[in-house]
Amino acid sequence: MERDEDLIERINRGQAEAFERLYHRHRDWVYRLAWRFTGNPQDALDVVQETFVYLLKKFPGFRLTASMTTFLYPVVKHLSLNVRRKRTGNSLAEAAFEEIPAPKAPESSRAELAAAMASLPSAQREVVLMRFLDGMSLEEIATSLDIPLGTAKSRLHNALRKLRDDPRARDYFLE
Amino acid sequence: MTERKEHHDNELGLGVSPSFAEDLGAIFGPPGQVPEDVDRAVAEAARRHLGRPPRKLWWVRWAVAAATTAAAVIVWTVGIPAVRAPAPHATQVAAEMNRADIDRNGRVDIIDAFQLARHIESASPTKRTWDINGDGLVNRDDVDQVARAAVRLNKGV
Repeated sequence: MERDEDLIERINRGQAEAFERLYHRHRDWVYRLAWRFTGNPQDALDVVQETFVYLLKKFPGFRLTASMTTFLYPVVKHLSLNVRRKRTGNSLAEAAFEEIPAPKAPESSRAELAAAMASLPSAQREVVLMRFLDGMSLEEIATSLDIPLGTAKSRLHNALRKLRDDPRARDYFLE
Repeated sequence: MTERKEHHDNELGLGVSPSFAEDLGAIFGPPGQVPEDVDRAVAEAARRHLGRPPRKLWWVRWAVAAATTAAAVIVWTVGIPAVRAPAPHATQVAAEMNRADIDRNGRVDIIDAFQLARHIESASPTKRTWDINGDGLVNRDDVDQVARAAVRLNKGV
């Protein structure tokens, strides 16, 4: 499989097909993240499109200095907050402090995990989701959130410890 | 799961079962997929944006075209002596050549055309003498004039 860096090199040479490949590779990840921030499917789709148009305008001359997900994470978050701000009328700062939308209530057993996750502080919940849902390493999480690696580690550690101690989520942890 | 991620999980001393990520996906994942019209819109935007030559490099493309044209003109005029255009007035030609010597190296060549094109593109201050065609403006028309001067074979000067 072609690496992101190789696709970017081809895009810098004007190959639109390479951009489409990059888009399809990261599209669902961006959509999932945008949905998490906006809580609205149509807003999330708008963010998907805006994110990749934003990326497109960086070419030619774009250089990837981190992973694509590390680069895209703050872009998606910022665009999502903008959309939420327009929808709610809050300022950007207020939108940034709003919690990530609470998880939807699923059927049966997952409901307990959802309740346990909802009880976490939003900063800890975000790190758990970035690590286990978005598949990002701790270094990528720290860079994306612009926080020290130690802070990312302690947020994740504290979140997992709370979940482990929570009877609603305990079964997900190995002895 | 990569080695690095496993290392940090182990470092944190908390092993997590694979179903944790799977169930998080079910809870926090969006409803449905990204529809095809979004895919098409992004693909179209990419074709439009990447298909356009970058503004900054217009002078490079121009320069390549001008060099090719200059080479063709040289071959044509050398190869068909009977069709050469008559040489303009010697004084006029000398004055034009002097203005067209953008880099002041004593000769007019395609490098002077490139230099003038770069000055115009970078919006740096221009000299009045660079108004080669005398229309009061320093623009691509003057670049064309310099290129023509560079390839003109003036037997009368």
